[in-house]
Amino acid sequence: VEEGLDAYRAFRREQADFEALFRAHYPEIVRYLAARLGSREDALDLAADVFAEAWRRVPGLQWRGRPVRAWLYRVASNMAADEVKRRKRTVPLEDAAGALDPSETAPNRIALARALQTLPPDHQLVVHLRLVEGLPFAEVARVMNRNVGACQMLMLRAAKSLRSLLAVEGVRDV
Amino acid sequence: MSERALAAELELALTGAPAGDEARALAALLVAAIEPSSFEVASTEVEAALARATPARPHSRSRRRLRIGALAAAAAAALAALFFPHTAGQGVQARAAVAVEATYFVNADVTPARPGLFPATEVTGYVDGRHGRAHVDIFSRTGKPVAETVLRANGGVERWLARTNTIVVAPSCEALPGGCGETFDPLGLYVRSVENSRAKVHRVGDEYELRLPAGRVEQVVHVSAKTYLPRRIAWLQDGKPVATIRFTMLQRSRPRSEAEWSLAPARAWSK
Repeated sequence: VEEGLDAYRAFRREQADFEALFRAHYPEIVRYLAARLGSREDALDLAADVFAEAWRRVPGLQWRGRPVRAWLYRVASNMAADEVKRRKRTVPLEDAAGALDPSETAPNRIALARALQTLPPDHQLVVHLRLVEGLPFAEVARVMNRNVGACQMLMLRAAKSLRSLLAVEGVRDV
Repeated sequence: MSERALAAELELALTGAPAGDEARALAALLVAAIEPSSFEVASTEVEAALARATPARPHSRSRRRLRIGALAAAAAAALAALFFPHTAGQGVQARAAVAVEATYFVNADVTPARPGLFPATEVTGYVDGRHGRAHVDIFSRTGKPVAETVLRANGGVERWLARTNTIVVAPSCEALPGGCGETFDPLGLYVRSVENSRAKVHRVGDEYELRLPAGRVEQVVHVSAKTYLPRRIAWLQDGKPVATIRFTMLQRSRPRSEAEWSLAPARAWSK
């Protein structure tokens, strides 16, 4: 759990200034959702919903030692999960998996992106925060409300799961 | 190689440092996997999305006028009061006193016993029970800064009030013009309580309940039977509940620098 008056004030500043919050975190939420959904357009739509929810609920958040960013990722993750479930009900699997443009992407890369989407949400989040956003593990741990060692283990499991999933698909070289 | 060692080596490989074959292979896989989502969102795109979000926002909430200067400081003082016992009586009361003789990072909700009695607040900051110092922020529950208060080891008080954007400095609580007795009475109240009266102690589940009477006001403090740290306090006046202070965070902290025991509203709140 994050400790410190400065951290508390940072939380309060973000809570009080929606536009600053939006500018600071909208791009990373879009990237995260794009990875979860496999589509940048869908990510933009869902990110708008995430921040609409943020506008309603962030002012009333009670500080529990975690940054507002952690709350944003939790909401984004839940919304992404709901969207994936909705797609499974309404969209044929082949169409849903074809969100990436095959003409621009090598087949093995498509398989890799699909594999990433099938990982558990916490695996996807640790990969995103550490590698896409480039956060140090200490910050990843704050956002995910875990310790650094646990986050490093999640990263390892994510990598091993990817390797296993690709092996099942018969992909060797990405 | 253990999983933990491999996880550490994977982190090395991801940062480009020398690592074993398996760690490097896994790192390469991860780097390839994130490639599709490693795109920039242009600032023009962000601003456009923000502009689209604007009309959908509900109207600004009505701004409640906060009349909580003294009350907020009282909340801070109540928090401070808890941590400044001058005597360590015996038994549970003594253990409770000893438990807080350190620096703590505190977050507490202060709630009136009846709606409308006073605005609910949240008090957050450092409290040094050993030296009798405190540095806390007080926010309304709607997230608006209300006050910042520093209580020095020598008894000096500094207080910044958000409503008027003014700072009051005084050598002691008593020297503060108007409202001082009211704002810091909980401190004196608690000190007098632990010095001059014996707490009535009851075991309630995994807690001890300490009743500290002082005239018409009584503090009912619930402390953990394991750590002897407080979980919540109820203030009763003439036997009727007035307020509840609930600790949502009470973490032992490393010693803070001198600067962290100073008032810093300009640094903290100016944009």
